[in-house]
Amino acid sequence: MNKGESEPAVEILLVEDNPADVRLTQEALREGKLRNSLTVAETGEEALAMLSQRSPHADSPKPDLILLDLNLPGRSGREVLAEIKADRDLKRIPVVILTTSKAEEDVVKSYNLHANAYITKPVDLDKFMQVVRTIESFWLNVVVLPPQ
Amino acid sequence: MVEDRNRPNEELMDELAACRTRVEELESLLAQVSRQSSREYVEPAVRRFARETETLAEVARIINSSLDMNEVYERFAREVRKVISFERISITEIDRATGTYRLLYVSGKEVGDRPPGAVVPLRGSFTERVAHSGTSLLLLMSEGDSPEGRMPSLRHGLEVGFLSFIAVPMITKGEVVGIMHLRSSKENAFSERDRRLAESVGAEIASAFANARLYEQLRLQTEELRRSNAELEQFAYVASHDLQEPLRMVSSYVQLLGRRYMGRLDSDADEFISFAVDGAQRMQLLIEALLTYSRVGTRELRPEKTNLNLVFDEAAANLSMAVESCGAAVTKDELPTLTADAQQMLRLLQNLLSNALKFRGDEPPRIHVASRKEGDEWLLSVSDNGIGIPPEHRQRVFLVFQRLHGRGQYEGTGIGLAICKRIVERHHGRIWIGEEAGNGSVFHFTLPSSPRKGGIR
Repeated sequence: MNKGESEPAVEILLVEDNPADVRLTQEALREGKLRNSLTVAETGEEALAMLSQRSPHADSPKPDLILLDLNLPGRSGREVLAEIKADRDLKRIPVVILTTSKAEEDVVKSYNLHANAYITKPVDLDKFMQVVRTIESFWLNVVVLPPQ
Repeated sequence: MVEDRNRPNEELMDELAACRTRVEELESLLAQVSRQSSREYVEPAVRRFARETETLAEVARIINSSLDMNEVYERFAREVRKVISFERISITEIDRATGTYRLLYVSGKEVGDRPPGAVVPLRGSFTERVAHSGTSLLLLMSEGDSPEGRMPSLRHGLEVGFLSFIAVPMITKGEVVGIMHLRSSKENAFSERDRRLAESVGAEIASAFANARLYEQLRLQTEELRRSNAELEQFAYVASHDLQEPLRMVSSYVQLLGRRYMGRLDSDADEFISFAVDGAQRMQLLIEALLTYSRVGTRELRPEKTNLNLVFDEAAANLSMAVESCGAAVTKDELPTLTADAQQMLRLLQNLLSNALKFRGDEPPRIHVASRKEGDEWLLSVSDNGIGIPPEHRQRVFLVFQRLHGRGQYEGTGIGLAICKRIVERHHGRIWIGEEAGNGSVFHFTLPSSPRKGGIR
């Protein structure tokens, strides 16, 4: 299922404050088969500014998929999720919660806030890579998304 | 009576029963003499004796029924009042370290500077004298007696108008721990007989006192233990949870290094990378094991009717791969159905079975789960024909991360049996390794056959 080079790269917004985690996701996506362009927001505020293309992020691309960590400095991932899902324009964008938390409470709350998927980061690198590739291929290849 | 202070209450009860018999005899004697003129004399004496006997019986009952000391004192005072007419009763506790005594309980006529809770210097007091001698004291004064030269606290008593005094020591383990005082403003209010009676009550108070102190100590210790236990559990959970994050990074990046650069640097680099990967993976296993262990202790239990036969089947099914690969025979007796947390029972049985499979000898494993009712408990035993456990290690294997074998020989983190112990103890049972003649080992554990009062821990 390799997409042609001519097709535009899929836009992914990763909201994650740990640079090591960011890099790991980048590496996993690099090993994947899809052409993608990853934008990183380190805080919830930054993510929301990018999504609403507020200054200085006026030319931020609209993502096809959001990968959201729950533990963020400042506004939590949960707040960001709630805000995205309450926004007329943004709520259609699939949000995948990608977190280390296995707590039942976090899972339930996230789905209650209309998260599209909840994934616990596997501790093992191979499994992590596998998960990132699965997310990529499912959300960008298998499902049909609304037109931009 | 003082030397009998530690006598068990049953013995006291026996004596009381004997006293009652005597009362009955006396009463029949009274019936005989009732027609005679001596009746006026005999009857009050018998009635009084009966009342005193009742009092002692009641006092013994109080000790057995209550551990709230104030209530105990209250009831003592009430009982003593029935047989001795006093105006003030006080119970004091001696604190030798500070050379003072404290009024634990006061009832009756108030004395200005001696309210309950008051702390008074021991020196020169009535209390000191009784504490020192260890014997009770009866002191009778007359209206005109001069308080000059008397000990200060007695002078104090005289000044507020008391003329009759009884003081009895409360003795625990050979030490006077407190004094009970009875006072009256009447002349000759107390008799020698009253003193002896008060003495036996004092002995009873002393033993109630000792009980209460012991109980209070135990309660505080239990509370402290429970608190520090909860704290430790919380600590283990948080520590292992928070440790996982940085470890995930270390482990991921050394793995990534391995993926990208294995065979592309030199052989030293390859070796270093594989040691780092190995160490990180091992640490991950340990942290996960610790998390599991702490969850077994902190997760709220869901007690329900649990058929251990079904639990066994499930455990055996979960282990079917291992069972088949080594040709093991896993059998069981008819197992009981009892109130327990089904999920933890599964973990318990599965851990024990998997242990028996893992530490097998050269022969194909034969594992049997036996069960037997013993009193109000079920005794379950998991026996195998494996490599066995030397007697000197039989305690140690239940500790967290304790391993008896090198990693090359047998895999595992050494948490399995610690988890078993925790599960059994949370269910009010015990687990131990039995003395097995010949090869193999046998793990015994008990579970209450009906839910304990207060539920599962």
